[in-house]
Amino acid sequence: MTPEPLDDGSRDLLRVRGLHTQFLSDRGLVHAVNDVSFSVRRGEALALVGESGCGKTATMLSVLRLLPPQRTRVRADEVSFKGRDLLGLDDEEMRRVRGAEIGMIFQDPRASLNPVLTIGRQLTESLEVHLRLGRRAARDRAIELLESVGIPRPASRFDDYPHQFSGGMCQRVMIAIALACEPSLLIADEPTTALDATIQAQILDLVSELRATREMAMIWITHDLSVVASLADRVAVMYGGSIVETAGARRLFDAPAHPYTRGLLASLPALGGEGRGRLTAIPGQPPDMTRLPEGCAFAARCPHAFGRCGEERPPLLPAGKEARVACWWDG
Amino acid sequence: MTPLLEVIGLKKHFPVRRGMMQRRTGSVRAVDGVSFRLHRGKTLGLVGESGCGKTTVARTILRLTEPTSGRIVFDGLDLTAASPTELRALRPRMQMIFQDTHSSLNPRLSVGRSIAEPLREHTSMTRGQRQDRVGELMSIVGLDPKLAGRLPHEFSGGQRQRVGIARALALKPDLIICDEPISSLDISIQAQIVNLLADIQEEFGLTYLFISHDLRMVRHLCNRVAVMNEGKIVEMASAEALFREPGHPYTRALLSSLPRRPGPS
Repeated sequence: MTPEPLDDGSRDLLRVRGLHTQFLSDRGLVHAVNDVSFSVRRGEALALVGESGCGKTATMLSVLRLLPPQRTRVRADEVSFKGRDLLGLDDEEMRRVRGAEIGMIFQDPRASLNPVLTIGRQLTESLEVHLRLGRRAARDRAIELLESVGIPRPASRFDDYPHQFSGGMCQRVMIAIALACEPSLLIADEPTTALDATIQAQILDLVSELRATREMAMIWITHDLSVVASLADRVAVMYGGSIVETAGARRLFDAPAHPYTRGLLASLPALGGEGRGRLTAIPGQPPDMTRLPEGCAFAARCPHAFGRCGEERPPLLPAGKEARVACWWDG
Repeated sequence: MTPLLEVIGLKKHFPVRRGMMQRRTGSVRAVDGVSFRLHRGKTLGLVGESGCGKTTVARTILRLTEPTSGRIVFDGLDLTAASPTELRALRPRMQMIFQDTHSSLNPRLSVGRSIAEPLREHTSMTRGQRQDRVGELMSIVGLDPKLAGRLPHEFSGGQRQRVGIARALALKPDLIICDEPISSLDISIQAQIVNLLADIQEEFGLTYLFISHDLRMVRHLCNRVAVMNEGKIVEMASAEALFREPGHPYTRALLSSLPRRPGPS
């Protein structure tokens, strides 16, 4: 499939600028996403990294317009996909983009599959709706897809129900569904977190392989830095609803710049070496997203914080080649 | 030296029942002949994937589950043959720290009362003595004793795990079984809790059975590691040797599934 020309001639497949998302919870107004900007190029793998509640899932759900509108406020200077303004599309157009052009996989594959439909039906449904394939053609294509994600004897598993599949197999099916319409972007939200280590490795291999053969871009949302190292071209680290650092994966791991990124990497125990020493822990706790501080959200835990950090939120500014950091400290 | 805990040929089979009459049609061998020794002050890691039987081993040691066969010897006393009185006397010496801090603390009890509960149950301390001990325990785990009156939901996940640890320490146990104690915590909090576990182990001479699927933390915290698969220990070695030269194919598969370490080497 040759990439179609972009309206604005940009290399960016997805571009997000100045995204703000707030939602109402029983604890008050949650400032989930605060001035987030990023882009994903054609074929590129971006990892969005951060701990639970840091706004990484809210960012993607805002882009996909999957947050309940009654309780959520989303605004942005720009959310464009292939040059089209996603926030300006009507619901029907948006649904087409989500089904056919952007594939999605989530953490809990069992919860995402319909328990009363066969595996085969869940695949052919999307093929019939989005690609307008006939029943026969959809079935053949679905079996091919199941085979491509490593389901053994796919034709005989076609009429099985989700409960007859293991967790890892269900996630493979979810990937097959996400890939059914050959999307140019795959968004994966912690897709391996619920899986065992050996199964996780299989899924990571599978996704890398599929990505290489399809030139598909990907956004991989995770809290697991070790997954990122093997998968991503570029990494964006989120904290307190903002991107605090973005850089090429190699560069981020070799020379992390933001104190939070440094702290996270330093707190991982090494596999080699002596072990049994103390880990370098980050003190304190993640911020309350209903009461974010005026300044940098990480300042309260940061070893380098000084006056300005508590008063003014640092913008995400260029820091070397293709890297940006949001930090007042000039370390 | 006699080990603090010795598990010999432990088996736990769960019956599988089918049909209206619930006839027994087979059994699941959740734990199928597990043996190991754990010496005082040491940490044994028990690793394996979900369903491999590691949590069942823990529950059986604490006698929360009856073993099908095998022996569990704690400080020279065979728990599988012990009388209820003997078991009750031993109870305080074996404690557990759980993965899910939401469900392991009573949501309607203040954290201070949760920590004091084992003291009320197993000691003759007065109310005042209990309060002092709770304050002391909270300080040990890095919580402000002034927060004793708060309810669990007012705490973060990391703080609730500290409460769980304080409660486990209340009766000055010898053995603590840690069942995935950090896997539900935020990444920036995990190292804090691992450091706390190491600190109190040193301070009180605790012995740990550390159940986890996080191989890095196991490598960091454990002296020896037992790898479980399908109810059996397939390999047991010092942590250092296991990670350097895994012998069993399953251990190799587990280790090779570990992504390369990110970060400056």
